[in-house]
Amino acid sequence: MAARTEDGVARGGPIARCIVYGILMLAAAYFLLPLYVMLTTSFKTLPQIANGSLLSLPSPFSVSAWGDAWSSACTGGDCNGLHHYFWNSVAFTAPAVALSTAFGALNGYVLTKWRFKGSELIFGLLLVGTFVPFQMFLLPMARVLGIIGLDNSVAGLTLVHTVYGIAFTTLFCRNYYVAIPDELVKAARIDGASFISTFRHVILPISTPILMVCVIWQFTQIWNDFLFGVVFTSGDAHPITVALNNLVNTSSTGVKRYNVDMAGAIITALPTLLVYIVAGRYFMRGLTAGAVKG
Amino acid sequence: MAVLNIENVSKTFGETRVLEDINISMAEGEFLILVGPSGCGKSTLLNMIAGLESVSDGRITLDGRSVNDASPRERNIAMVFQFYALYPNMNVRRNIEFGLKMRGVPKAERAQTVERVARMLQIENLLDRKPAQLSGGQRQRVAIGRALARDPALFLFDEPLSNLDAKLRVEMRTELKQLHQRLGTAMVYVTHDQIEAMTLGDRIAVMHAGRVQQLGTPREIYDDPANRYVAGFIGSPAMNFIECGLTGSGGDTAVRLTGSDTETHLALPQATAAKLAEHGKTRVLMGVRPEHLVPAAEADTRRARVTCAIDVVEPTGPDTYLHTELNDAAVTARCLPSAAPNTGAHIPLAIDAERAVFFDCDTEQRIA
Repeated sequence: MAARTEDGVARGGPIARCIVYGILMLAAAYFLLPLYVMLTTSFKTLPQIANGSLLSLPSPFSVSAWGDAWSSACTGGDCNGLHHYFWNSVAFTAPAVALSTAFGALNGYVLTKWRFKGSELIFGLLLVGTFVPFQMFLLPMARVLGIIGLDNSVAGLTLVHTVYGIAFTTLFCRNYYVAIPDELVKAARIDGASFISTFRHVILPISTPILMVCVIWQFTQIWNDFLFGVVFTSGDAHPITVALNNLVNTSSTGVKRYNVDMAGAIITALPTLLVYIVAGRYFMRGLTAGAVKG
Repeated sequence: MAVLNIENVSKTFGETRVLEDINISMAEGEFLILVGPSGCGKSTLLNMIAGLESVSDGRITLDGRSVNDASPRERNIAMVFQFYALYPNMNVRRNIEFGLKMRGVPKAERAQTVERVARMLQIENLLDRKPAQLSGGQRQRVAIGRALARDPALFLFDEPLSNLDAKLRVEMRTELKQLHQRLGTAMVYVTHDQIEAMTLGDRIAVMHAGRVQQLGTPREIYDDPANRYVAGFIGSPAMNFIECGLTGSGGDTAVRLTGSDTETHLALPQATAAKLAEHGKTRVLMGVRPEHLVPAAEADTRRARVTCAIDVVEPTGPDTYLHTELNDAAVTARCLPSAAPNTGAHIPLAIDAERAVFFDCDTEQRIA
């Protein structure tokens, strides 16, 4: 019989629990296996990859593939590894994440606490922006970037990602701020705070969870983007996602270097993983806050 | 000079008119209550005084200066909200001094003010806590402290006690009244609780459907209601309304009352009778408060009496209320707990005709 436990959640007996945990562990193994293969392969030497089993541990343990992927592997024309493109990606991801999050917070604040005639319409239009697929933007955006002279540049990618991200960050922040009582803003206005100082002193300090959501979401989207990167930039200005693709598909010796490919893929994925680890505990909290508070 | 002057003020949201032709003038140091049911426009009016809502029509002046277009910052007011509206990220000290900080008051002066306010409200030991670590009553004290810090010309209260439990509400009510007596600063206080209105106010504006139904002292509102709405809204238990036919004419005009079996003619005071006769209708609505409808044994023997069957007996402690019928209308009478009859008893009730008020059955306006 399921008994009510202290936290109010009904749980089954030991057998039922074993089944549940068994299934969960299988699922975890299923999702972790590719990561395991990637990691072990990246530390193996080429002969070991060719002759050994896919699941065996690396022996001898070698980090040379990581060095190659970072600084000497060929990505199309040049053979300087991923490091240049890594910093490219950092150079447009960091400002684009910061800008789109800042604009989203400001938009959400205005759309909930300083409503004006037509603000619901504007929010509706912004919402549509979240449904528009990347591909639809490509041609008009390429034209715009050309006209304003930002084509094939890191600054151009920053602009594209900022604009595209605002629809999402606005949606997140607006839904978060809608749950904050209007009285708080009224009190600040009575206290003499202006539009901006109310935002700075009252709203922003209680926005951490939703800002974290925006940062994680935007960072993942922008860092992992391939399409905008491959369309709007070329050669030296490529982001790391495009460079990784080139690295995997270029072979200077005719031999497929799986260890270098794996190391490159992990290097590319590492920043998003880090952001999840650092900001992740706020993520679920931010997404569900407001949903439970009526 | 009037601290606050509201002249012919109206408010419309799109097509809906929420406030119509409001005229209120407030003297220095006055405690004014805006009372009414939810949706009557009282909070909107308060927000308009605060500058949080625009004025559609008319004029609001503070200290003789028209503030129609002034932002809340430019008005010398402070406000306390129903849900406290404390800044959750700041501790109590920073909450209290925030308004001063926004107005550029130097740090040393701010610290002094916080000390003074905290001492006055006895919250010195809470200064370093965050709002989430406070109880409801403590939060409301801090919210009041935040308003006090600014030393404004006018305090605005938006149902500040309605979130507290019953016992605390009564305590805070007394404290607010003491605070007002000590500060001598004018206050506008919005509530839907008629007991708060009666106990706190120097004057009360009873609002309904976007209009001020009556503006007067608590005594005037209670004893001399302008219409049936005010009469029914103020007083607990509510005033009894009994539709009656009139007999006689001129100064002899009397009302017919039927209890459980007997019919009585209730003679009225000369002035009342004359007004009713002049009004000319044969049926009127009589309003009698429960305390003026009592068992005949407790009343002056000269008063008219009518025998009624008691349906329900309700002891409340100091008083016992008796539910019965007069002219087929459910009415409540009051009696001493020691002399309470049993349910089902037929007892004579006496009506204090001096205190009865009369309304037109159709317009519900006061006749006499």
